[in-house]
This record gives sequence, C-alpha cells and structure tokens, in this order.
Amino acid sequence: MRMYSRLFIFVEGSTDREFFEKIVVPMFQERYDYVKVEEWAQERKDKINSYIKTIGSGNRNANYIFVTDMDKPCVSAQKETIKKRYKNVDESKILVVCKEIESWYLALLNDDRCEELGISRLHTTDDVTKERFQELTPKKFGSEVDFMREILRTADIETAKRKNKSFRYFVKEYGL
Amino acid sequence: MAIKRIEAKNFKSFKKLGVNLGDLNILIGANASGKSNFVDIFRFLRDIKSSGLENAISLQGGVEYLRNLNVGSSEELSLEVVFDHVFGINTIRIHETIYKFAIKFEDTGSGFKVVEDRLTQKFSMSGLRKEITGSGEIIFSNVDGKIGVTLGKHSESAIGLDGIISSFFVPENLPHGAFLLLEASFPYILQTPLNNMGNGIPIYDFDSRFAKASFPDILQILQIPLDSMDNGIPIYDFESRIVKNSIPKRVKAELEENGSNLAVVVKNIMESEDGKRKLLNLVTYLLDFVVDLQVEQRMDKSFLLKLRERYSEKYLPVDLISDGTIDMIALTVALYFGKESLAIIEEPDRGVHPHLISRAVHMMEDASSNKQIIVTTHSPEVVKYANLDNLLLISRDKDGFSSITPRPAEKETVKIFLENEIGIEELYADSLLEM
Repeated sequence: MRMYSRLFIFVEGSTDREFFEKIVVPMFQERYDYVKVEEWAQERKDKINSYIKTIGSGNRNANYIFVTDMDKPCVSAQKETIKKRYKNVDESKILVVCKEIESWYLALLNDDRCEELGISRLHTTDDVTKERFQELTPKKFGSEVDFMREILRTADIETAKRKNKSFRYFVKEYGL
Repeated sequence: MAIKRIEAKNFKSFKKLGVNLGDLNILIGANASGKSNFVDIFRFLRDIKSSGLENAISLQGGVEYLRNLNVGSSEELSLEVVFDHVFGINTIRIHETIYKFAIKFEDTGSGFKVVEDRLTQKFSMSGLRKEITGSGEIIFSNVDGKIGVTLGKHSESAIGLDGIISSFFVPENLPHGAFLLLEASFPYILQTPLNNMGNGIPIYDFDSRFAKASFPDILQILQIPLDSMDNGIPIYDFESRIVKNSIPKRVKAELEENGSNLAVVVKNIMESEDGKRKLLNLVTYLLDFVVDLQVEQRMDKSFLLKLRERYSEKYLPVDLISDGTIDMIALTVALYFGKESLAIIEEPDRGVHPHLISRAVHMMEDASSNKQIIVTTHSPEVVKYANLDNLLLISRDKDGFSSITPRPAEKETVKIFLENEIGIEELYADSLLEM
C-alpha cells in the first residue's frame, strides 16, 4: 500500500502563493496526497528552518521545494543567498524564478488571450519584472490582483513552457 | 492620495497630533490607545459637512467629550487637514490645499465659538515652456460669516491677487452657520497670467475633474479639492449579523458602513460584465473556496445574496454563510467599488483565518493605488504582512495623551529586536513597539 505523501512548496509572498496554488498544485496532485503552499518572506528565519528540518528529517514521504525570485545576477548566487539565510535548505530543492513570478503569470497568456486582453504579445517573458508587469496591465483592470486572477482563469501551460525558460526548466525538472 | 497630513490639538485623547498619511495607512495600537479617536477626526469633519457643526459636536457626545478631558476648555480645539490634489491648468496650478478649523470653549458650560475657519491654496505659475514663473498661496478666511481673500506668502515674481482670483466671483458672506469646509468651489480668473505671458498662445491642460473652462471667456472654475469629503468618507465597520438579517429593498447604491445593503451593491456591480468579472476575481482571490456569487430577487422585492462553494453545486443563502466570509466580500466591495477617494475600514480582519490575512493585506495595498485607505487593526497577522512603511503605531503617554508613531520599525530600539529575528508582529503582540 502506498504511504500518504506530502509536498510543501515554500514561496515568497501572496502573488507567488496564488500562482502555485492555482497552476502548480494541480500538477502535483497525482503524485502527492497533500500539497501545501507556504509563504516564507514574512516568516521568521528560524521558523522556516525548523519547518524544513522537520520535513527533511528522515521523513521519506514528505518533500519540499523552496521557490525564490532571481534577485542576484545568476542562479547559483541566488541559491547561495538562500542557503546562507536558511541553513537547512538543500540546494537541490531551491527553484529560482527568472526574474520574478510576474514573468510566469504573463507566460500563461497565449496570443489569442493577449489580443483579447489588449496587451502586446511577448515572445519571451524571461526578463519581465514586477514593474514591467504593472506597465503591461491593461487599464480596464485597474487592479493587479484582478489582472492576475484573469490570467490564471484561462492559463495556457503549454504556452508558459514555451515563453519562460525558468518555468520550462521547473516543469522538466519535476517531470510534470 | 486624498489627504497627506492631519494635525489636531485638544481633540479627544490627542493633546497635539501631527501625522503624515500615505496611500495605505494601517493604524495599530492597544485597546484604548486612541485608534477610534483618530478615526473620529474624519467622522467629525464629515459630520460638519453633512450635518453642520452643532450636530457634529453633538454626535461626538458634546463639547465635553469632543475636547480632551484633561485639557478641557483651557486650550482651543483645532483640526488641520492637508489635501494634495493637484489641479488647474498649465498657467496656474494648485498643488496643496490646507483647511484649518479651530474652536474656543467658554470657561464653563458647553458654549464655544469658531475662531478659525481658513482655507489656504498653494499655487505655482508657469510659462509657455512649463517653467515655473512664480508661486504663492491664496488664503480664504471666514470671520463671522464674512469671506476674506488674501495673498499669503508668495514669490516676488508671482502676480498680484487680482490676477488670480476675482473678488467679484467670491461671495462676500457664507450662509449662516456654514464653513469654508462646505464650500464647493471658488472661481479663479486667468486673464492676468495670460497677459503676463507675452504674446504666446497658452496651451491649456485642463484637469476635467476640477476645472470647467469656458474659453474664450478665460474664466474657469476651480473646485476646492475636498472631493474626499464631497463623496463622504465612509468609515466601514462591517457587521455580518446585520448583513444576514437585513432584507434590503429600497436602499442606497453605495455600500452602507455596516455592510447592511451588501446584496444590493453586489447585484449592481454584477449587472455589468466587467464589474462581475472584477468582483469574482477579487472575491475568489481572497476566498479560494468561493466559486460564484448570486443575488436573487425574492417575491417581496427584497434581495438575497447567495454564494456557491467549490464543494457543491448548490448556492448557500447569506444566513448560512460564515461571518468572516461575509466580511471579506464586504471588504472587497469597499476597497475596489466605492467612488470615494478615501475609505476608512475598522478591523477588517475580524473573524478571518490568519492564512487569509496576507491576501487581505495584499488587496489593501493593491486597492490603495486608486484610493487612499486607512485601516485600524489589533491583528498581529496584519502587522506581519504589511509593508512596514504603511504602519502607524498609536499609543498613550504617561499623561494619557495619544500620539502616533509612523513606521515604528524604524525606531532604533525596535530595529535591534528585528535584527535578532524577532518578528514585528511579535513585538506588537507583546506591546514592545511602544518602547
């Protein structure tokens, strides 16, 4: 009999949590009985370290992914920064989003949807930052949350794999 | 932003207050620290505007409770509000408006007299190439019902008062019992700025919210930018039990402060495709178990709010929906769908699971790009997820006077705790932010 399995995904903030809960969690549901997304940026360092230690301490049926934006010039420097702050994090469990989660949101829009929403078609979203995302938000939304939810409502995951390198890497790495 | 600074003297628990406001202001503090008294400043100003001074004082419990109990009648009560709306045209632009109001109390009894009712509008003037050619301030003052207009501090290059505002268009007297706070507009004339600019043809850049131009008469009406007052300042304090028990029929279209007409407001929003999309996107962001909202009109013409959860195909009527869920729907409506430019929301986190708080705070930040928001809270979870720049800590000193500390996380003593990995929410819960 298969044992009950759990996956914990640590993300920076609420916009990351929204993306992972709506897009990524369903992709893992075949593989895990319980998938939980937790925010780490506003939590105390020792609390997150203890969570990770507990999840990783000989519990074969629990796994985790630690997600971070790319604040440093390269992936290895970003991973190093995270490891320095959270000493219990295994480097292989760190996932770096290039550059910020907003780039993954925009990658979910296929050309038809871009046209419908009245935003420019982007060949790649690898360099999209929070600020660029705000610039691209159509005026009729007037709310970033509304726009993000609208993107998630009609998300096209195949397009996202094509438009964003780090999302493509993530999907491939975890065999999703 | 609607209001950028508030000053108060001898008002309720404040002996002297001066605080700058941002787009989102999260007011935190212990019980009886003065959060409600701070909100009462806005309520008092709003009540003066809507019901007159006598009623506004009465609604605060009379002069005895309006002023500070310890200071009493020995000092004047004054309120000063700084609005930062920029409006006007290229040639003359008002960039700040300050309203000051003061009353003096009689030594005994409940008598009082208005000793200051003044509106100051700071302006800058520019030439054809948008270069600043002068600056100054125009002061409107009300002395015993008579309006005086003077030119206050100004640069040498600023034109004279007659070139900016014509006394012909300013009424000499205010209606009995009225204040400058109630005035909607004073007309400014533009002929002198045009003359001053030589032979060039000025390019007008009217701000349609405030200006009405009748070119070529070269006369425009510039409204005092108190639109936050004109649309009222809603002070929301949702009461889910009232929402559950109310049967709204003939009610106003804007959300009531206790949320009692939520069903009707939701119905109105959902009548437009964009409104429906936006409301559902926002509500389902905050409450991820919600799939849809519906408003049903019943036989007696009343409206019933219903909600569908992802666990069932059936809709639940409002009386079966949890209090926290109702409050979150009302919060969404208040944040995004009201017309006012300033909204105050009291303890929006009541009855909400901590896991949802980060989303609620994110929505407040999101909404504050379009509307100034003031929130009061006791919740450490709100403090945890808030941008530290948005926090205002209110506390009482040893004499019992309230004061407000903006950005308490920047205090040196607090910084040391934060550096040692003690969360700001823990310091707040332990009442250590006040040290």
